[in-house]
Amino acid sequence: MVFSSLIFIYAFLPITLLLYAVGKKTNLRNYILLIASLVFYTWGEPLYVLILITMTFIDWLSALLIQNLFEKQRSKKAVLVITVIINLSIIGFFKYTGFFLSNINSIFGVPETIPDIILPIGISFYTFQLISYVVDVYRQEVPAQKKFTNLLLYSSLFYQCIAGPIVRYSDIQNEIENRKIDFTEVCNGITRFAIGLGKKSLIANVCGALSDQLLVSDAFMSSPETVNAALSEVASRSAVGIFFGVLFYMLQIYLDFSAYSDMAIGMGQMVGFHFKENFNYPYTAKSITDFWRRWHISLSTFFRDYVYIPLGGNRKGKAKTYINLLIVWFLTGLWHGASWNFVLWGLFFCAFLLIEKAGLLKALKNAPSFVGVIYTLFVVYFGWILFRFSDFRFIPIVLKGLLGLNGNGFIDFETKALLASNIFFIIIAIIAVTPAAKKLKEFIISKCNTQKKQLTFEIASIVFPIIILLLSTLTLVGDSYNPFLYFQF
Amino acid sequence: MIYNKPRDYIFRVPNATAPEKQSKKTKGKAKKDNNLTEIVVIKQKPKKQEIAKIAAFFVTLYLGTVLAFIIPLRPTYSDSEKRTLQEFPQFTLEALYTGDYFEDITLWFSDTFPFRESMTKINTFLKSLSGISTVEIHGDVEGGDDIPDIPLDVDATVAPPTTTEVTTTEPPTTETPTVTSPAVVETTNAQNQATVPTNMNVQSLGAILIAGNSAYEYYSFSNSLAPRFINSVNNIKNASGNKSNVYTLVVPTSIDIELNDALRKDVNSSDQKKALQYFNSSFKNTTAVTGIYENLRNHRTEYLYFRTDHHWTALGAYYAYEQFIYTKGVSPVPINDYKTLHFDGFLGTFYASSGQSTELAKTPDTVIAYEPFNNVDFTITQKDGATFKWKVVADATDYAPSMKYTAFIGADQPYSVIENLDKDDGETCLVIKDSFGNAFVPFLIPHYKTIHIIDPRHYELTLSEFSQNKKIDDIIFISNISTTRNEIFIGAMEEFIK
Repeated sequence: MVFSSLIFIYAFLPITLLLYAVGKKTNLRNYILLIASLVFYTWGEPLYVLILITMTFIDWLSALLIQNLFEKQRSKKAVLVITVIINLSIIGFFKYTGFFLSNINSIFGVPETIPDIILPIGISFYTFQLISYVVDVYRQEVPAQKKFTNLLLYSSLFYQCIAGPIVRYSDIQNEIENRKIDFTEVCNGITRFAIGLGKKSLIANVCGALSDQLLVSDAFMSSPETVNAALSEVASRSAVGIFFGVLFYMLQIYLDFSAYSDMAIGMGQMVGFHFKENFNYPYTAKSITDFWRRWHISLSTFFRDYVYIPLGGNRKGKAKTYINLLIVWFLTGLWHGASWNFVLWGLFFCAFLLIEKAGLLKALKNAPSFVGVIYTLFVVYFGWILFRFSDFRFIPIVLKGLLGLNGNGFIDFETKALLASNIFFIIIAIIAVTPAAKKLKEFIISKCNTQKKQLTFEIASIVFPIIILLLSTLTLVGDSYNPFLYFQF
Repeated sequence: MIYNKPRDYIFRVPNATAPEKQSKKTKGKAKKDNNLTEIVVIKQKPKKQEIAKIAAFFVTLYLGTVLAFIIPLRPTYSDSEKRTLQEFPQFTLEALYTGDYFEDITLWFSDTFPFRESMTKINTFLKSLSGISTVEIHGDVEGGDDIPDIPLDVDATVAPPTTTEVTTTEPPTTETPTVTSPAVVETTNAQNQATVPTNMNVQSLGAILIAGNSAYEYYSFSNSLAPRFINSVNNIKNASGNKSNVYTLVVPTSIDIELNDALRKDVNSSDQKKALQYFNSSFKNTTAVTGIYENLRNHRTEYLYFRTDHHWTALGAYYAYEQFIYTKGVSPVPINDYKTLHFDGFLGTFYASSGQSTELAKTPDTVIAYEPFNNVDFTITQKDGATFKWKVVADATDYAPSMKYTAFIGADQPYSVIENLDKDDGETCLVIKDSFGNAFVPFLIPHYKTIHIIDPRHYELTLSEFSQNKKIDDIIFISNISTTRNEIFIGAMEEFIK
């Protein structure tokens, strides 16, 4: 189930909230949330839910062992290492076996058949949450959770289980056992949820469709039967078409991903959970260093706290620092998907981070800020090309296409028509990735100096989430309208 | 993103003076940090506007929920999409275990949402506001392949190896290709895709262009499918026992006939004139009926194609009939000899595939049919073998807006026969056709005693089985040019001429 589906909005969420409101005590509410979360997960993965439960059980047990059973630091460390290895083996098996074997195959020619292992939804997210929990217990930053069901609630909580943010146990440990519904928070949560829903269904989905139209769709590109047709299709696009195709993808990936975090944060607020922000307008970053402080914050801080710093961070000399950075960015890339293009994407950013460390950052600080923003957008834009195409054959075609070297001219009729008939949408989508709306709201608040104006503002803030909800519903129903592929005639 | 300022007041006070006097209202957990401060949160009563906001939002949400669960409000069939909507799945252990059960429930929930038809229309209207739309394009435009200058070399037409191999190695082509779904569906709305029922004879429709109140289908020449199409047509004669004259009509579509030239020259749609030359020159063992393109172009200001549907009008079909009958060496029946029937309010496939474009809805099409003046006996045989009598031109006045084109010969049926009762004897013909043939067939009535009509997509026997012990003078193959790149139709033809 995804948040932006009708069954979630008009069945799962209202039923869960209703039960939650009826259950008065936190303890009972936790069981309600836990059952809802397991239903939510089972809905997408009826069998793999067992992996989630098993992993949580192992980590729950280890954390208790680490905290209580062993006196010696060495024994604690041994338990920690074994637990982390178990966790990584499980994610390694499900996520990377196919990738690993296909690489072995391309070098040695064996094995002949590569098993097709289906990736359990959200495993990348909840594994990291669990690892962070065990490590934090080992570091004595948080006490181990005594109740298994409470830890399972943490790992399976449907708000963040399948698409992040990667919530730290320490951030919500108190709230698991002790939280209140607060009216202001519920209001904020409603607005936040609606914003996320709107970002996803009204903007990101459309950006995705436009990008597919201008570049090529995923299904077409990833099926071995159509990949050649897909390649020649990309090669037939005009320069402007390719440019906007990648731009729409760039907009989509941020809006889509941050929308999930918005909805998670918003729904958390409705029941009294406070998740940390996961995005902070990354497309306004003034350097790549800055970009990674604003993009998927919960992931970059995870790698910082649980990989980079344990490796020694920057405290062991320049050479070791560079090696540590390379390791971190190799892993960051690999985390995004079991394919070399993601690794390349990670290392691509690593290269720019190193260049910035070597002096570019200082130079950018002295330059006007728009220089930094444009430089960052430029780098990130090319990064998304690497990210988009797991088949490397597409990348040179797209790069050549951007420069108009595929012989298709600057712009074609279809691209012109598409851009003209979406011009207002494009403007809105671009505004949506900037803090403009937030600034506008602050500006309006500052101008609400009379009671009448204030009242108007209050009414607007009541109506706003409802309008977004209704528009999103229209769009989601509209998306089920699917006569396009085939006609019975 | 908009964050409301928290209304709770947070005091940061030195730990030393942390007062116990913080009243009953104190709810915060004392939390120590390195700076020895304590965070105390004082709770206030909820404000009126907060209650209003929460109430308004949840009332809307729960109204929607109640609505979603009123099962009788859920539609089961979509007229404009011409498909049965997702049904609530049958419970099986296997479906549960593979996840299909829940997936199908999700699909059912969104696919049959109450009032979806109206909601879709509103959605399309709102989307039309997202830009300045002089022209609109729906669907993925596939650039066509280069059209060869020289005809297909088909010396081995008698038994083309490709056809037999393809048909034996490929699964039945009547199923729609399944969309390969990515392993991770975390961030896609994949459940909204692939809702098209399988196991159904379907015809694909390409991208469409909407200019003003008219829509046009893109055509992209396919150099992998064109030879298969040509081979299957070239085999008709042989498969039918070499005893009939075979005529082949490939009909251009509106984009190359009616779309104004200034616009057309920029559109990335393959040149149909050139493609028709290629097809007609590649046909062997059949008489290619040429000049259809030119005849239609000469009459392009007339109502030859629907604006909201991919078919031609009966008038368009008449001009192709003229070319055919000249090729046969007979004179055509003047169009004015026919009485016309008008069926208003037609909103066809273009309208549907545009997501029910507001622009197209403003000016629906009119189906104008030319009523046969002969007394005829028209019998349709359905897939299950059942036969029934029908009218060659049925009264479509009360048909659904999307169904008006089915006025002609009872739409696409596997097999049907028209007997001209005014003729005591005369020639017999067999029409092998896609849906463009439907508007064309009625004009043949004055010229034949018997007209057999076969739609290869739905007909289950082969041509050689059909032709045994039958005297057939003429075989007329008619399809529109998009069919030359339609794998489903071509696959069906290959089975048919086996």
